[in-house]
Amino acid sequence: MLFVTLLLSACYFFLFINVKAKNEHVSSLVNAIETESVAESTQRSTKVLVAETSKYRQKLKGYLVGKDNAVSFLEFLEREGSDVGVTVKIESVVPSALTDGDVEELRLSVKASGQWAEVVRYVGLLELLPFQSRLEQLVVSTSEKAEDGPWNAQVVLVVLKEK
Amino acid sequence: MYNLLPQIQKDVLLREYRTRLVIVALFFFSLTLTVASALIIPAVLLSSQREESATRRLDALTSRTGRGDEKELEKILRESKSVLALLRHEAPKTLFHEILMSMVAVKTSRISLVNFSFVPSGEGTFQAEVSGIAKDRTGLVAFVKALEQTGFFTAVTAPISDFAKDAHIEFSIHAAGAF
Repeated sequence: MLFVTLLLSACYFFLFINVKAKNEHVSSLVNAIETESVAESTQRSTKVLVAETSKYRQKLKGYLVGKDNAVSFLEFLEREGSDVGVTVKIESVVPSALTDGDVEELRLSVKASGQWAEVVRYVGLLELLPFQSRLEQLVVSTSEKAEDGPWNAQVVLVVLKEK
Repeated sequence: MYNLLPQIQKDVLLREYRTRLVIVALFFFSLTLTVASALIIPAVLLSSQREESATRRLDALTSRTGRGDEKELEKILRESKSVLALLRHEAPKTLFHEILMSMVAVKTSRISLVNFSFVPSGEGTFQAEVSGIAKDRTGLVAFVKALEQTGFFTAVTAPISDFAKDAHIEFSIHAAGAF
């Protein structure tokens, strides 16, 4: 009788421990499921946000000079100059890093020479470029010795570019 | 009450009684354990099922939320946010070419302009310098007043030394304005 009692006790203890362990495991799984559900919900909303803002992000990128488009941007500046009738000379281009990793600033020193009206129009075009840019310095002067025209505009243009 | 049994037999009887008592107690204890074991079996089965179902659900969720994808999406949004922070959100109030045109528009024939310079002097402000030659003082004073009235500048100053000569005056006017 004692042996049977001991056997039954061992059996009951084993079953009890088994249930306890399983319940603890289930509890930790439920916690993990909740965490994962929150992560899934966040990810879903992030996906929706990325999809919804796709066209705006494309537009946003359009305000920056493209990663491989620096040369075409310089050619664009020169072409705009010749379109309005000024001689454009890009004197220097200096890239400088910004704190945000994927964007840098290009600091261009541009010289435009020509007639007054054309030079002013070109300055206006530089101010209204379809890129995120600003004129950091502008000097417009006249010189009788100028070969390309009586007026010169010396512009320091800063534009954002993708790295 | 008469004590008919000798002490030895009494002890034997007492021992037998205790043994029977222990056996009965063990029997009931065993019975209790048997019932308890039988009752705990559904709990064991239920726990196993719950564990299996929770594991399956977690696996399904984990496979749906691919971590690499999430990082990529976050990177895209973070980049857009940083670009947005770099962009100017308001159009400039003043454009340099408009100032140049207005300066030329307000000058009279008694003023010749030879140099214009614009340099940002701080957050949203700029310093301008205009140099030229005025035929006389009156013309220069009128030009300074006209510049003030253009509305582009918050302050326009002409050094008094520019007025020393009364004709063919080389002047340099300083002005400050806001973008």
